[in-house]
Amino acid sequence: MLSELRSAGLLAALFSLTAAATWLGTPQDPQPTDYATKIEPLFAKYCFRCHGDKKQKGDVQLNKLDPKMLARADAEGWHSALDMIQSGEMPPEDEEPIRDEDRRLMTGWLRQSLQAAADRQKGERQVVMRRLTREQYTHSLQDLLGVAIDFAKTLPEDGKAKNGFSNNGEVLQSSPLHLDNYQLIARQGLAQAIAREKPEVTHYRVTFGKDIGKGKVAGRTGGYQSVPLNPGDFTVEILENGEVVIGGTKEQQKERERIQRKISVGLRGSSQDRFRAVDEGMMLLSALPHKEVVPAAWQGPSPNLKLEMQRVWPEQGDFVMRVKASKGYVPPLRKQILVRLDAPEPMAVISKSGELSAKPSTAGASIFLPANKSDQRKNLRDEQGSLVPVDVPKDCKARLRFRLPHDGFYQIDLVHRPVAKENMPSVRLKAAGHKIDQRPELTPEQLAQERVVTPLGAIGMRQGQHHLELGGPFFMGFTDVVITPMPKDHPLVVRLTQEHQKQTDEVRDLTPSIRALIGTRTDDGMDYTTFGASQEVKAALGSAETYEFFGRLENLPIPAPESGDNEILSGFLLLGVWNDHLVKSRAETGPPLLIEEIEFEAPYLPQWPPQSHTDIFFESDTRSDDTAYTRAILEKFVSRAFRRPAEREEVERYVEFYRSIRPDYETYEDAVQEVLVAVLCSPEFLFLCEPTDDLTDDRELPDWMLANRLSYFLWNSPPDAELRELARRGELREQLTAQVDRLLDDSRSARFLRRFTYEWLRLDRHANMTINVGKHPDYTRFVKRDMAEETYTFIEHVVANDLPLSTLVDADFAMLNQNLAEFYGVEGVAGQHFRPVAISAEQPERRAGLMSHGSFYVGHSDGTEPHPIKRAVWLKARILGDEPPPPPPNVPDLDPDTPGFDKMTLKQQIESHRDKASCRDCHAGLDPYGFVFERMSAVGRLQTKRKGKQIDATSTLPDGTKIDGLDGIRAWMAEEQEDELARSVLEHLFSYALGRELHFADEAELEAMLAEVREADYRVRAALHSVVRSPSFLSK
Amino acid sequence: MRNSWRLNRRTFLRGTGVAAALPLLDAMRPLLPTRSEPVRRMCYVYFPNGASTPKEHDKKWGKWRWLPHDPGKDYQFTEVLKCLAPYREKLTLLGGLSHPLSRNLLGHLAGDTWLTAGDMRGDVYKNRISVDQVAALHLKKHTRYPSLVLSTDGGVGYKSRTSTLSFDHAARPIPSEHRQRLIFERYFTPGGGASTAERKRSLKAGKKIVDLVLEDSKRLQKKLGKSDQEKLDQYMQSLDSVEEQLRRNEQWLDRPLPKFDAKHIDLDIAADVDPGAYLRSMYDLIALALQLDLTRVVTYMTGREDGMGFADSFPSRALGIKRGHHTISHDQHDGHWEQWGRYDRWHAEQFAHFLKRLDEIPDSTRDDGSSLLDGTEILYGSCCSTTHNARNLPLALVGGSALGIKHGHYRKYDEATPFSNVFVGMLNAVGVKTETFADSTGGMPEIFG
Repeated sequence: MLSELRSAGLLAALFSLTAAATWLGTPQDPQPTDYATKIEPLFAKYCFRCHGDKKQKGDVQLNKLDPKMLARADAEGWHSALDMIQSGEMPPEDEEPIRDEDRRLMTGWLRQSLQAAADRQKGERQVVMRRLTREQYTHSLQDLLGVAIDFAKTLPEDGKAKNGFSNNGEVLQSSPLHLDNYQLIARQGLAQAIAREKPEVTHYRVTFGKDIGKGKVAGRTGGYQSVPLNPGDFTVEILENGEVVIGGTKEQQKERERIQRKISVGLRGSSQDRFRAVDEGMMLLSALPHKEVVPAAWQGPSPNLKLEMQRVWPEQGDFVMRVKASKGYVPPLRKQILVRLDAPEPMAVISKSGELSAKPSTAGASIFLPANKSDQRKNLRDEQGSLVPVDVPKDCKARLRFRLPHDGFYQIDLVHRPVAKENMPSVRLKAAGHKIDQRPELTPEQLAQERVVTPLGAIGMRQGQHHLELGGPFFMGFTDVVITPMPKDHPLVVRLTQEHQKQTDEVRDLTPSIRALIGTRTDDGMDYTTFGASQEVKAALGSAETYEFFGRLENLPIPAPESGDNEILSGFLLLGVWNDHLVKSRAETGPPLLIEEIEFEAPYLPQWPPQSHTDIFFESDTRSDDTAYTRAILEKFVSRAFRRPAEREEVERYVEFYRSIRPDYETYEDAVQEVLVAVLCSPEFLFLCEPTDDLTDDRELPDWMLANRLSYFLWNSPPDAELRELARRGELREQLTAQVDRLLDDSRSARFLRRFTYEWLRLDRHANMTINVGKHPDYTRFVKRDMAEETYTFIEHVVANDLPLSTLVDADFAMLNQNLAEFYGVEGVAGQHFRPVAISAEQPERRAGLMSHGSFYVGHSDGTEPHPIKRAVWLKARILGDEPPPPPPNVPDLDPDTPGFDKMTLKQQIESHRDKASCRDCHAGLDPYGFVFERMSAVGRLQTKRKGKQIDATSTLPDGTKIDGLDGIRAWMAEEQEDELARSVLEHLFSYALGRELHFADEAELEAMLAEVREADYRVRAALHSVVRSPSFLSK
Repeated sequence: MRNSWRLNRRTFLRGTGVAAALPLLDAMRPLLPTRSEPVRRMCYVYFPNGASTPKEHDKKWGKWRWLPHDPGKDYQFTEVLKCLAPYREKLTLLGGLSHPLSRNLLGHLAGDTWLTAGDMRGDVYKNRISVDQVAALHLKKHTRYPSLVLSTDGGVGYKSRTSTLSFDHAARPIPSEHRQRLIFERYFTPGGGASTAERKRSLKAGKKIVDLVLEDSKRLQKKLGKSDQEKLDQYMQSLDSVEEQLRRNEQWLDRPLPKFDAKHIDLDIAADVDPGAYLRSMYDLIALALQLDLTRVVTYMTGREDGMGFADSFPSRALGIKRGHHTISHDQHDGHWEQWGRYDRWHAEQFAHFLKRLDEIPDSTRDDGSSLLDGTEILYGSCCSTTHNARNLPLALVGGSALGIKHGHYRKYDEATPFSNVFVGMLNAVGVKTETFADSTGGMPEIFG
């Protein structure tokens, strides 16, 4: 476990300021000067006999190493000595063991001296020129060009500094790969920004309604697990300039029909009982997310409605999806229905002797249909009473007739020989005009049996003669089908027949909402993402309104441009919606959503030429004079790109460049574009340059540099017009406080807050954690998304309202939306937007403050169970600003041979591990901080028992404070750790703002900031203001 | 696509071979690699749908196993791979390997991750850069082309069913090429491809920009403090190497290919008419590309997963088996192992043709009598064993003795060893110094030293 923790890079390296600051501040630690009197005698006693003048075992001689560690080689020698002692490898077993007290002194001195040595070797304490991070690059280019492409998508990932921040100047490298890409990206971006011929606009409208498409042309897409909408229930129209195109020549009509056939509507991933084509349109019940298991999880929540457009869509540009929708109603039960079982439980039984029978049902006798009674067969052969496919991957079919004695619901069970998973056993059931594709997974016990029963689904049908079909590709074969009537009180029957009025009443006051999705059809599902925010639909039935969703095709997972591939199921762009009032169980309908139309328009060009073009090629009197006009263009562009006034001389160089390449290009725009590519590859665009030439004598930054520091700090983006103007007039410093507040109040501050929060709180661990869905089945991708959102919106709320820093650990509210509130078990939160929800102080382990966030618990679990040590390290390093030392190499694993190991909780396992002397030193200072969270599960839910035992969340901190649970640690931190918390926030902000690691010499500034923050009642904005006003931020 | 000039060209090229004779300009020499360093090459050949895998020592069908029955130095080839026996001392068979993240995937999906070890387990499609492209990033400076990405079907296919093995640094699929005539015209005829003028123009534009930016950077550097200067140095070094690459690329455009003979390669075979001849032509093209040092990195996907594309009909065209390859891989009828094994054997025989060709050609960059095969490491295999089981992959590592690879064993691993470890070894063998690739845990010193 511990070695895992280490390889996960959980612990930042030994040499960090935060740890060092604590050591300095701890008086009982010996000072380096104590070496000769206090430390050397210990090394002499335990080490020098083998590693001294007489012997140099393993080529190690400790008494010759310089205790001042001025040279790197000495420091490295001491470093390995530390490793040896910490890991317990030295002294060897047959030598005298180091007394615990001595060990503490020796390792304490070693760590401290190594720290000091590392700092000395780090050199100057100065902000180093920073390359734009991927995010900063994207924002800068988007702002500059007015094109919303996610430009950095193809750039290599940025590295991370030891303290987790990616905007660290030392760490930000540039490579030839970066440069190749900068050039490509600049070309691509400029080609989009500069208008040439107006591109052809693709504009389709799909209208829904029962039977409205009869006799018209539209597509239908089949394939594995597809749920196509009958083309009779929708129409496809092609529009030009907002008008439906009709008439034209035969060829034009034919071409339109070809396109119409390439557009189908699919509901793959949706259960038949959650949508319906009705007269008014498509009725979608609230979406139910799938358990995160392939392939169902690849298919979107159930139901989702998609236009499937095959190779009839543009590859780039802005687009709009317009959805005409209103509130809907719960459709009455279908006359005939085929659905999956909510909880599949076979009704048919095979006895030990192989006899087939059925469990008794109060609703009547089962109907047995042997396979050899089927009347229509395709691609099947009889193998000793079992019908199996002749050609396995090909579609096959067997039809069975049966007679139902009365109206009602019946379960359908399939009796078959077991087929191993790798043979992809599949079955398709068709009945009542619907189909269900399944790929059953058999247990090892089942695989060992002669015959097994797989429940397939339930039908609701009228009394009388009916038929069903079995088969499909990779059909696993069957010997019998058993149809068993279901009693009226069966939960599925109750759900399906529940009174229509009752269902309608239950959802009357709820509001459906639309979530937009776009993606690519894959063989087993879709690769998709949502775009835009979810929009609530308040329009009443009968007065539908249009909801618009905007996106940029290049940014989204649309199909790769094809070359050579023309498979019948490839090249599908999927564009669709689901009802985003997510529900947690199939029994809930949620508020139904009625979709009347979906329109797709791409590229979306509200004006022509676009503003991105006129921003570069603006109207000007000099237009007739190529050189003068180019000069004007460049002066404007270079000033924006370099984030400072352009110098005449450099503009002339670019003009000269333009002249030299003009003959190579056909058009004026092409040649200018090439010059702009060069501007965008200049280090003055790609780096935050702070030339010393422009500094004042006391190294103060001129206003334009300050404007850059400020906006890349608080917006993660370039300065806007107002900042530029203030800098130009030299008034920025005067208005600094007001400007900081303005920047923080602007929506762009989210770019800073989200990036900072992600790196400070290590949300990457949450993002990369794979949760065991077997243990936590309702941890869906939407819960995951909303957990991150909870943390972001919480921080945003704290900053927007300038709350005290203690709010971070102890708040009387939580930021929640409906989905997450339901997951946590908090009631009374409706709708998908995040808002502060009051949390009563009475509630045990209440959900308030960062330490209650699911993102923290998930990221610091092992995917199944909580991980107290990861939690403790996070709390100490991130919140208390006291980075624990990393585990030494060769940490012994938790020993599973300890008696009763598997019955212990992780807390108990760690306690037993701690008995080893080599582990105790570190863990005694660490584990108590993790145990207080014991009552929270791996997905951040309150638990009272684990492994059958009552959970113990009591803990004694190293200073003797006794803490019980989350409430305890929260109170302790808010009351007694205010300074530590404030200092930690300041350190992280300061390091982020400067883009460098902190240093001993920063101590004084930090103290001054802390004093200011204390003075301002620990308000969060006071912390932000104090960082901006610090000498390090204002000068170079 | 079918312009008449192309037809004329075809008649012209066919039979004459290509003996280009442009003067080699001395001024170009310095940037082109000198031949003092022995060349290291890497190649990946993939077949879809897994391989015949009856139980070890199965009395009736065991001889149709792809992998041998017992590991060690004295392993016995089965019926399937016995055509590789002549190269026994130049190859290693690898059993038991798989990509941990793909183990529970439906086998066909694992095709997307064969050379990437990417994560396709749920959530979203997350692939990675493929191992060949990691090598190409390092080796491209030596050759005309960074890599050749080939397949029988062309293009990229689609997510979950690709038709390319190669993914770039941003995990985007790299379109593969499959029309042999076009491949030949594009890569083997300097200045002959229609795109050369276009390419020249773009290289020239790139160079001009780099020159200008370099000049800008120098001006900027004078104004910076010391530590910022160092930071900018790094950027300027990158600029230098980009410029160098551009100059090199430009020079390659004019530089004549060494004289070679391509008469033996028939470039006009339809894959679905004579699959054996098509595969052999592709292998001949790869051998020729390596011989001419056009590139040092090649991937070839001989067929797509799940019965898609041309290769599904190979068993029927080549052996008269009236089933598609994908169907064969699913079949359960008595005797299906033999059918599958026969097809695997046929496929291996085509591959043996490739090895024979490579082994006949002396490696002109080595003077120890090594053949091209000895200077080239090749991984031959699939992404699943039985059809949808992405574990225990059939894999053969062939060639590369001169790169320090120790051959002669059938080595069997357990699941503690991720497949990526092979890639770490292969990268180091071609001089890309790395300790990790994707989820690797080591570098297989027992093979790669």
